[in-house]
Amino acid sequence: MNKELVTAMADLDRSKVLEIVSNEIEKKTDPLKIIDCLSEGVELVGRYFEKKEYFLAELITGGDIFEDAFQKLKPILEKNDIVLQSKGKIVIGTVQGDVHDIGKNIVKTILIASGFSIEDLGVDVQPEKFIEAVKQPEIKILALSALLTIAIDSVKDIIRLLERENLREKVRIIIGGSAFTEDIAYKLGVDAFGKDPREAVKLCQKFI
Amino acid sequence: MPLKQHENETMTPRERVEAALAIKEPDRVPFTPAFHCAQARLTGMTIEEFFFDIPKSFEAVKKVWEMLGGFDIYSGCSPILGYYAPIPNSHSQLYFDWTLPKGNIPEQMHEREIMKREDYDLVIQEGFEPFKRRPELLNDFGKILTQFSKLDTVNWLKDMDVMNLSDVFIEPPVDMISFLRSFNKFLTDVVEIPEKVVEACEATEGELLKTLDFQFQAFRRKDLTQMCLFGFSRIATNFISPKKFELFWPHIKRITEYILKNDFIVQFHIDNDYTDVLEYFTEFPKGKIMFHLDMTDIFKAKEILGDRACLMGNVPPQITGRGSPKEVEDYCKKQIEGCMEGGGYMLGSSCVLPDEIPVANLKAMKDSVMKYGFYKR
Repeated sequence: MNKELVTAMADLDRSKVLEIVSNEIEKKTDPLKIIDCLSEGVELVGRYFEKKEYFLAELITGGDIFEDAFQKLKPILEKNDIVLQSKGKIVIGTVQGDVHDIGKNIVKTILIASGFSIEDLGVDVQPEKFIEAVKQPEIKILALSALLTIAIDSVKDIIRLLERENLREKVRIIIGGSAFTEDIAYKLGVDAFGKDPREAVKLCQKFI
Repeated sequence: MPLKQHENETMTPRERVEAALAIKEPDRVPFTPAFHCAQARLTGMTIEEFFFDIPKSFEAVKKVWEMLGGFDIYSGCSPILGYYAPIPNSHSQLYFDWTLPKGNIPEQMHEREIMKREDYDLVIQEGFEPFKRRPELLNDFGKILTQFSKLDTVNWLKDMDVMNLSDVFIEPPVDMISFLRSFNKFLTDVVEIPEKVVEACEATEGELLKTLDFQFQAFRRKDLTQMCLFGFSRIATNFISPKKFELFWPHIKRITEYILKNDFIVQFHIDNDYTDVLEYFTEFPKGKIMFHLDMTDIFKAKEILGDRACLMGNVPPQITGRGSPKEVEDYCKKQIEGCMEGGGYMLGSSCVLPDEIPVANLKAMKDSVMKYGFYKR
């Protein structure tokens, strides 16, 4: 374990992270071990966020630095046919009627940095598209995002379709975004409300 | 004839709001709803029609006004003007990508990274002008202005003695930059290159103050209380730390002082949560600032700023748009009873009312000020 890399990631020192990753690549260090260090750093960023030492800005920066470092490692992973072990695959999208994707993209970045693989359906996603994606055997979590309160009706449509296709029990539904609250989540009958990206990760870890 | 909405009233709507703004107790708590396009659905129009047909939107506004017996403030009709305005602001299509309303789907921004990190020096040297585009929209802006000028809002409001929610507006440089960079990139800049972001804010302050100058000239009405909407949403402390907020405070403060110097009341329309930095605003004089709060805790704001600033808002769309009328009444009652003492309080919504607000919920809001909002004399 390269403690210096973990610390640099947790300290959000992008240039140091990329320098260490480059050095480790040169030394032919196992890329999976490098990713483990980066993930440990991201986990620390998440904990600082929970303790309110870091805020959303730092959480996003952590995800962005992870992404930059991962792009350096990607060619090596591909060259050596190394497939990352994913903690689980999640379908995510902004529901029909809403094109806002900021929150969704933040959560997606943090989930990837935390070891999940994501199928991102984009924005203004028709309910049928979510249903098709959920049919994949490996999908256990459906993450729905919305900013506009009018989009709440789209969530109802998705749940209705899932029930009709006998898929409701197959997936856990997490909703997030300014449109929602705990109370609305309860009334809609979804499984959880992710009040922030860190909470979304913890919910996914719980549900997988 | 001045609007009277209840037999126990002793003030006109303007007098009522002015008393609240001056941190005095009026006859009752003003009900000052900020609408977006809710009047469309309430009168059987689509949001698209309301947005694009200005005279029809004004008719819808007047219809809802009659339906509810009027309000203590006027928040306008179609919101279309800002989307064509050649002023650096997040709503302008001359700077940003917007899909305008279709049917009952409201307008939405397609936020993307228009300004790259390497463009900060360009902004510092040349301001926001290099990012202006779509000059063909200026013709539309002119036509839209003409349509608005033909509406008889001035006489209608004068007759009822109702004032505008705001007459002029400005967004600070930090918000413009955040939208040009896109939210995630901006937040990363705040963490990694905060001095550069601040430098760009300070370099573009003058450009944005100039947009106020012509608004002051065009819309000032002598001897009347007027408000300038000063809107920002991106440096809230649910996004950045109070320490980072402090970096941007100097330019926010200078813009505020400029508005005050021009005798407009500053209406801080601050979306998201600023609860942890409310202390900063205690620097401003009593009765000259007001807050239209979104997620900021209005009870905390009352504690910290109640002696100097009028407060409204913090009634979320999940309650007004999706709650039952009873839930709306209970929420408003709690807020009214917690905030009305000493004046300086008005009942309003978090940002604008949701477009899908049922008429029963709008009525419940208004009824709550009539039931619980009269001051005892």
